Amino acid sequence: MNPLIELNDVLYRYPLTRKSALRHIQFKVTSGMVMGIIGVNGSGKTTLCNVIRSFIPNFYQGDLQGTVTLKGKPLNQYSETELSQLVGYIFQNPFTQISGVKDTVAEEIGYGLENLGVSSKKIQKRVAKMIDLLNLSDIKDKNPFDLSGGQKQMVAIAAILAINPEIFIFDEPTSQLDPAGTTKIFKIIQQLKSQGKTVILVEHKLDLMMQYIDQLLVLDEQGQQIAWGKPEEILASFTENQTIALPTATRVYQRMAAQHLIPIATNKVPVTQDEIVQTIQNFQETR
Amino acid sequence: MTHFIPRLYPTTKAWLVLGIILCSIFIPGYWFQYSIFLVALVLAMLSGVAKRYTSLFLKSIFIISLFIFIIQTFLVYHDHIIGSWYIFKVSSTGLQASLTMTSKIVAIGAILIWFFQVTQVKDIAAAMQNAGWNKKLIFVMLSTMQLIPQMTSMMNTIADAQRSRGVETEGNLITRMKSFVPMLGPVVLTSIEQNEERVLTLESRAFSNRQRPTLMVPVNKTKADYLLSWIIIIIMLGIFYWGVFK
Repeated sequence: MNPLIELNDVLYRYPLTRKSALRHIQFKVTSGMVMGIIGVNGSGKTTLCNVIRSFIPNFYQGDLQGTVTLKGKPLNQYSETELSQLVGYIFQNPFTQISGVKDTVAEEIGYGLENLGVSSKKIQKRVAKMIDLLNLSDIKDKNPFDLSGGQKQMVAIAAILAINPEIFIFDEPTSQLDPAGTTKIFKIIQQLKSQGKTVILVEHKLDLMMQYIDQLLVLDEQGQQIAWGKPEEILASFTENQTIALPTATRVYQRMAAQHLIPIATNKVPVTQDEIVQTIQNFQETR
Repeated sequence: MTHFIPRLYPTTKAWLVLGIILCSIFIPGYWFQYSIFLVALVLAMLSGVAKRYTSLFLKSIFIISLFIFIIQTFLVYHDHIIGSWYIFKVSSTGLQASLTMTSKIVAIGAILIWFFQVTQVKDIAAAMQNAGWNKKLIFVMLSTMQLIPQMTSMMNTIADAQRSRGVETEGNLITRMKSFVPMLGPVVLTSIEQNEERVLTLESRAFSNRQRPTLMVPVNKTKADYLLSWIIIIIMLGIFYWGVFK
């Protein structure tokens, strides 16, 4: 299967800095895949998202080496309009994701479609669908600036979903959300996955993240790619005291294995709650 | 009728504003100009915004006009003095100049206040977009209108943070100034910093698309707008001709 996104030995340094923010990033994402990115704060997760969306080098200058292709075509051959239709980006900070030119939440959600020249009837239909999907009907007539951080984040997500791009980049989308909002976002990610959309997800809520991702990229504090592959396989080589955090299921498994309560597996570890429960049950049955 | 005028297309109302401004400038005297205050008041009543209109007019245009009137009439030296009291001298030319000057301010101010009370900025922007104005220019206009409430909200957040750290933010003028001035730096710098991310937000919403944008809620001219526009233009031309050339 041809990769949808391909990064080949990508290295990036911000302007006026000596240290690289990203080093030797190399992976392929196929269509319909949900990819997770984890790493400590400052490890370059957002920078990598900016590279994939081509905000680097189009907006942030600096030294970008290596190649980034989308559908086999280098990113610099796409126009900004094409990219905005292909790649939807939900940013970390909800306070700057409001356009600042719309008076109501409903209009804010439809702003991207207005810019794309979609007819008013289609925009209204699509916006109504997004309001329904994200339960925003109570705030649809409010000024976006009067919303809380979590509500702003929801509006930003709705605005990108309305454009219906092929690829979604979620950069810590739940950082401002309550548990109910977080669950809603992950349900949406699940829906996107079932619709065959490609999702790139940066998230610190590892337990939730692991339930949805197909592939995982791990960055160290230097911005270097230290692992790429199926989460249950690559997390087998990590231990709890290393710099990256591990999902609860993996930690429980490692502790139990260390105490010889379950056998040690070297090539695969459970990463979700269901998987650890299943592992324990399987072990008990075989005893 | 109450809701008819605010619903009119912005340019329909703009023709009236333009006509009145031109007539106020070129028609000699001051009676026509002062009468515009009453015309705007009647329009405001018909539009259901009389209270807001009167309040805004009294707080702004009335005070400015009164100030100019007093200075021009009593303090600026003119010939043909018709009365004096201590250092104050009133002349017929000074009085005439004050009336002419303030009447124009009253006319233009009154009709503009009425216009902005019955026309939403987003409708003006929509009309500009329909007329093919530059998208970036419209964006600048709209975002500037939102800037003040945004900065006010940011200042309130900083003031709350200061209060929670024990900084005195309320009290007499000096105390308020002491807490207000240090806030300006963070407010301005934060606004500039946020602009960077906002640009990326706009790019994500296809702002760079060169295709002509559409509107989710279209603002269109109705038959009444076309008819009223022509009636307004003909009446204003008539007033202009009668006032200037007759």
